[in-house]
Amino acid sequence: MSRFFAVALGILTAIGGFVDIGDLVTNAQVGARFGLSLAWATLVGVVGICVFAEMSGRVAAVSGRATFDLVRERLGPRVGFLNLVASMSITFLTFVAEIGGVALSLQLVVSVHELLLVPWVGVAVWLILWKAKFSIMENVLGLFGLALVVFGVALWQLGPDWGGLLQQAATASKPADEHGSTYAYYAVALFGAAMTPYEVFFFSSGGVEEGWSTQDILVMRANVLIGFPLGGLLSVAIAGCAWLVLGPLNISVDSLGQVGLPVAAALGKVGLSVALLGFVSATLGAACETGLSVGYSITQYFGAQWGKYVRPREAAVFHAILLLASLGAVATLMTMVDPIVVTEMSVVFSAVALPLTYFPILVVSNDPDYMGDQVNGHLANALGSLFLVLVCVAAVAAIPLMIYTRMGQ
Amino acid sequence: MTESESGSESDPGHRMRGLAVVAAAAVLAAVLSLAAVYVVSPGGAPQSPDHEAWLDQAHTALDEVSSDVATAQLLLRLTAQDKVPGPYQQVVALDSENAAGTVASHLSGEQPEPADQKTYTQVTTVLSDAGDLLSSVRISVVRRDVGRYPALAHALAKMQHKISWAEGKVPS
Repeated sequence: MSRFFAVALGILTAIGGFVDIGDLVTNAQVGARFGLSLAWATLVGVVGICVFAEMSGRVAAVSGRATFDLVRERLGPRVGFLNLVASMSITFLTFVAEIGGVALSLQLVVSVHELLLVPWVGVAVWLILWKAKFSIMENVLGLFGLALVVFGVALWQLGPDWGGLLQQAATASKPADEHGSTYAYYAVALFGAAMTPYEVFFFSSGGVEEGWSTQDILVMRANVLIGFPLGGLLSVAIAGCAWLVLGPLNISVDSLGQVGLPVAAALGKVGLSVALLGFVSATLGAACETGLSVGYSITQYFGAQWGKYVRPREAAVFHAILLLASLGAVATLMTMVDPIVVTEMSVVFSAVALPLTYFPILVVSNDPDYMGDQVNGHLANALGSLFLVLVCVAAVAAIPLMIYTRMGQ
Repeated sequence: MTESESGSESDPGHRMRGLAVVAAAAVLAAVLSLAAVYVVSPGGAPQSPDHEAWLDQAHTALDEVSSDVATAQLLLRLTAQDKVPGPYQQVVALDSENAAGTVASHLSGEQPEPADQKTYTQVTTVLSDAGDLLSSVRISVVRRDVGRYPALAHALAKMQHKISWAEGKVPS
């Protein structure tokens, strides 16, 4: 029974924790303009993150060590450092976006300027990272993040032509008034949003924090293979709601407030309040995950003590990095940079860093010295190689598309 | 790390090359920063896009402001149905007003070519009017002046027509 509970809890938190500010904004932007014609990009991204999260989770369960720890050892300090700089930069950018996302979500609740909220959000995130137990942080925020299921309910309540929506998703037909380059730009953005590097760092490091062993591999696989796809469905529901309510009015999404309006249209104040709970929980949860991931990546690379399962005094460097990252994120947001623009940038630059993040995981999970009989099978290698090609294509295309389309305009 | 790698990194020549690369990167960053400051500085010359680029920007600006006006229309409709809490209304109204204001001031600050002067006046006038209307919406929303909503909704619908008309005046 406790095993069933662990699986169920893991799946629920995986669903609730899947969506972050990047998913919220990007899916609403794409949905309002392209409907579900880009749902395939989310689907591909979800399969990709499942493939690599399963690998990194298996590595953690078998070796008891997290990704960066092994990357440096297996590929050497130079490749490891390149991997660290690329991944950590993107993770920090995402951390800034998530803290901005929490502030924007709270702004919708209390109607206070987000700049007044940002320092308090920074303090709250740091306190959670410092004081809260790992399991409580992950489970509570993940479960509250499930409030975003309200987008699925809203989609159903809006009474769409399901056949038309499915056809749009299946045929991937671009609206006639949109350029192919913009379509490609948003495909890369959705792919990047689904495969954000921090997700695998957090997943594998979290596995070490929770003391996974080979006996936990089945539970881990259930979390990944059921939880993440259901989280991906939430993303599609956000896009569907935006298409039905914002699309006909030619509204282009450039604020978090617009993302919630379809829920208000379908379910009124109660629905919107639930959506707001989901916004706050999803962004706060992701802020904690990205903040921890910054600390994990640096300390694991340099071989310092890390993790929330050890006392702060024993992992002083790790906690100092968490503090500095929180201060840095708050300082960045206080320059009045638009958190939505930071979010858009983080999603696209995520795509650029993907090969440097995922290639080492594929190498390590194929190494019998670390993995023993849990080394990648044929299917994992075939999918891993296929997605490595895809992430390389996305990485090469991301910046030119961003410049050419002026960030999707 | 191998001995040969270690040896090459401690080589003075290697170290000097490394310092030179870092110094070059720092100089490049400083030059780019100065260039950026020069370009965006309010005291500098205004940006002067060519004919095609200006038309492109005018279309984009009208599309974006049209989206802001449509957002305000949707907000008023949902508010009239009592579907949006007060603080949320205020933030959405303010975001729409700010976004439209940013777009309008950006386009107004560009230096049009003489051939585009008439279109420039038409487009910037519409954008300015839309900004004023969105300010009125925000004021009413903050005051919970529900009695004004029908008139504002009507004005927003008219503004959409005006924006469409202005779009028609900008050659594609």
